[in-house]
Amino acid sequence: MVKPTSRPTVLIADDDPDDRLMMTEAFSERYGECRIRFAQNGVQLMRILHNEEPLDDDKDRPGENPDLILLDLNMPLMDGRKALQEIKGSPGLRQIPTVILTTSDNEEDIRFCYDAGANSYIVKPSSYSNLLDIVSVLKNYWMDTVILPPRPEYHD
Amino acid sequence: MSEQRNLLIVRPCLTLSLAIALAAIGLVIFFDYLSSEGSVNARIALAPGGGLVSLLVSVSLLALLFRRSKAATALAAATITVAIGQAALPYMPVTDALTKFAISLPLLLVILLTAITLIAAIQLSNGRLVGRVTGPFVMAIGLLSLLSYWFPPLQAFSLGTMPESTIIVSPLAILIGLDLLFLHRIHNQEIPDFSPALVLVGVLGITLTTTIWHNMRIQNSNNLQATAEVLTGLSDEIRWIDSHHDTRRGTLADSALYLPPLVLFTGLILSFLVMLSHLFWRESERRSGSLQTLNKSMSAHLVREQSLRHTNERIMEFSRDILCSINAQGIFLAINPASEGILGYRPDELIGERYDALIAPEDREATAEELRKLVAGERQLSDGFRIHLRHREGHIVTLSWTAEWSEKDQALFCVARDMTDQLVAETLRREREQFFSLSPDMFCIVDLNSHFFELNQAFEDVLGYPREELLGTSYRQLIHEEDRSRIEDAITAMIAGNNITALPVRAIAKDNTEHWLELSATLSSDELIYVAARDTTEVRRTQAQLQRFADRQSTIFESITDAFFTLNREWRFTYVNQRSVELLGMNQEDLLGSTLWEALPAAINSEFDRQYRHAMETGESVSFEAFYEPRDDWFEVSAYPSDEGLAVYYRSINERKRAQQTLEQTMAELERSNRELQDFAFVASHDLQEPLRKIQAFSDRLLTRSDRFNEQEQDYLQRMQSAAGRMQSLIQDLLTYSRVTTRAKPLTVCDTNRILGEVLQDMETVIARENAVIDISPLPTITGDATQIRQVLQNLLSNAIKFHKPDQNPQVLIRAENSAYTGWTLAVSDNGVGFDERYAEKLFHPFQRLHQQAFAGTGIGMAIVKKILDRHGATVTVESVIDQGTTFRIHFPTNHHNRTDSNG
Repeated sequence: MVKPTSRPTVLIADDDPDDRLMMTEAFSERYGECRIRFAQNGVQLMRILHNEEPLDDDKDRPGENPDLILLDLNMPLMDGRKALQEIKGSPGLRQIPTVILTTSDNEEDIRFCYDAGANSYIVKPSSYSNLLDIVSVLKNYWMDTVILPPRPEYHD
Repeated sequence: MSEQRNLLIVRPCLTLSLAIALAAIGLVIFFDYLSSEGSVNARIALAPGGGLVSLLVSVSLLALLFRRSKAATALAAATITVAIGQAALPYMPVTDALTKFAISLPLLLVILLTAITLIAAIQLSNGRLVGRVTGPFVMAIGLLSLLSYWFPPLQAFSLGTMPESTIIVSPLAILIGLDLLFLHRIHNQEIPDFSPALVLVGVLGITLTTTIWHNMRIQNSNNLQATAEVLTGLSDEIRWIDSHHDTRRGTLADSALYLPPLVLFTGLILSFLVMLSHLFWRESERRSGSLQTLNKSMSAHLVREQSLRHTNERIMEFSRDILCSINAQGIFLAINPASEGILGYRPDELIGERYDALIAPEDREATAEELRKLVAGERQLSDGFRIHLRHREGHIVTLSWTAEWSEKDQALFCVARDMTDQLVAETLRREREQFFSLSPDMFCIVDLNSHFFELNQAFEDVLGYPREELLGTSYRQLIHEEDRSRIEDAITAMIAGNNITALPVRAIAKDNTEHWLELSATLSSDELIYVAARDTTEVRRTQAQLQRFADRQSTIFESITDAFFTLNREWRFTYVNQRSVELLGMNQEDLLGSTLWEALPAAINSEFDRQYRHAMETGESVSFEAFYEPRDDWFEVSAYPSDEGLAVYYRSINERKRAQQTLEQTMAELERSNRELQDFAFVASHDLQEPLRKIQAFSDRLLTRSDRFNEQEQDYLQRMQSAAGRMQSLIQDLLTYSRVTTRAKPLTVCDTNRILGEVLQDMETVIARENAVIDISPLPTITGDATQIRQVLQNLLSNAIKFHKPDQNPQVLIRAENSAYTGWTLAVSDNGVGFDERYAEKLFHPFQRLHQQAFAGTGIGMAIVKKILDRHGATVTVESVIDQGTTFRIHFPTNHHNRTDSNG
């Protein structure tokens, strides 16, 4: 749930520049007011989340978590799976809706991610229109409707 | 008794003396008569008639005494005749000389009576009576005659012509009369033994006496003659009368008259006494002799008796059989020491006890009954009556009893023999006999002359000759002629002391068949040969058969191409075939007899070692492959253990092994390359697909900004997009195709209906869009990979819908056909465009599309389906008619075995 006072922020971790471009275009078309921030890999993602790097260029929301994380799995340095585990393992981060957005349609990956606590798993579409639909769904559900409660203990 | 014996001696002695006396006197009278014949001087001469009869009587008596019965009778008869004749002489006209032979009537009477008595004594059984009558009569006459000397009135009874003779004759007559009384008895009794000595003594004595008497008489006569000479002048007649009728008593002095007879009779008596005493002496001698003999015999008898008693005692003592006596009440009166040995009780313990105390209960009644019968006399003798008695120590002893009741002694005398051993021996003997006769082996006994002594039933049965036919005959005729010498040698060996065992000979049976026998024989001490024979004809035949089998086996073993050897339980080679020799590179001689380890040391501690030992120990056969270094060869070995050892078959599998190894290597490589390929495929597909996705996405992005492009430019973009899309599909299909095996899941029982339902659900949109009508019916289960089955169904259904006639809604029929135990057939039929069946082959090859360009699809679909079906062991056929439709038939066989394949 996006706080009414601040601009919705989506943190996307993806190493593929083409995908990044597509995402930017899709969001700007469907969810213009949403601010998108990219991480190149899992390491960077974590640094951002841990406020070691600024989330935004304009520094009007220091130390705030994004409203949605989109996570690609195959990334260098730290891949999405590990990042997912870290996010969902960290008490301050796990309430952030984390959706896996990846090319892999591997059952194992799907199962792994859901087990690790991913809130959704979406296979990257090969058509732009589908991508637009995905953005709409993400906005409508994960950013406008759902509030994930923080829970003090995390299952291990 | 002795008195009677005395009389028995006296009477005959008396008679003998009398007879001798009569004879002597008679002879003297005769002598006297004859000597005085020419004498002028009158001499007192005795009448010769008396002498004659006297002689006759004497002889008769002697005949009687000496048992000449016939002679005696004849003589007696003659005497009668002569006497009668003599008595009749005076009345007959005869010469003077003969007249002198006349005898007086009394004398005649006496003679007659004597003779009659004699005859009666001999001939008549009642002669005694005659004697009893005549005897006293004659005695009376004699007495009267004697008394007539003193009493002249009795002159008529005078037996003699003159007093001289009367004095002689009368006592003689008395004596004769006395003798008559027991003539009969004498004749019938045993007379004592008149020995010649006795007779001689008698004769001598009497003759001497008679001679003395005669001489005395002569003397008297001479005296008288002297007197007469004095008296000469007297007429001869007177002298004669004087000499004959001695009326003048004074002629002879009394002493001259009485003395000669006195002397005579004294002498006679003396002689008689001498004879008698001799007889008595003899008798006493005899008696003492007989007494001595009796004594001796009695002593001998006594000694015998004693020794007999002693022997009896010893017999009793040493008898092994029980000797006892029992009274009618059944109490032991006497029993010998054998009771201790047989029954364990001493005699003194048993005497006085009842006999049935020892008898076993089951025999008591029978024994009591037997005893009763014997005592009552119903049975004389009980022989072999068996009774069981209890020994002191408790065991039962069987005795065989012989018993006899003695009425006189009122006791039952018994002998009992211990039969136990005998019974045992009997049983043994019977068993031996049974053994001998019933034994299935042939037994016989023959003697050294080759004759059958005995043979048993088996002998008869095998050779067919009845026992009676063979006994006593020679066995030689039964033996095959070639084997006879062998028998001879065997007998010689036996005589030398050796036994014969397992001697093979042929015997001819009665039906002329030849039987091979194996003889074992021994010569016994009783010079009989005991033979046991076994009919080995069958055995030989079997052995021959076995030999043939063995030979055949050997041939087989030699001819099989596998190498083969056998080991015994000590691991020694017992058989090695030719191929084995080749493979092992060793000779049979080197191998046979040696152990495996000695001959092939390389085998020690090898796989061969382990496997062979395992087989030998557990009895399980083993099959394995192992490398035999000395020959640089791989062997494939099968070893089969048995009671005798181990049979090993093996062959060289060098090529195969090499091939196998190569194959394995190849397989490993293939697998590796497969894996690499899979990895590659995965990575490639992913990496290949990524750019495609981008192309598609961006071209699609461009299309959304369609206002920027004209139609042609849009068209180009669309073509680019669709080309990229096709490539993506192709890549995906290829990936799917490879995944049929790489992502294969194990086969399970799949609910075909559910899978179909899912597929239909997935294809909802397509079905709706094409307005397809899917007609389904319940389907049986499939043992398979559910995902893959789903792929198949999806593919088929998709095709069925896709290849529809342009103006028709696709109609698809899904049915199960021929549902059976062996499997079922899935039929998917459509009413689509169909295809030329000639190209059915191509259908299942990847990238072969029958309808190029007209329909979407990469063409791998069918290939994927075929691959999946191959993995499931299912077969697929297709029928199609152009413009009518196509039917795919897939036969799913029932998976009876649990198929688990790793990569299909």
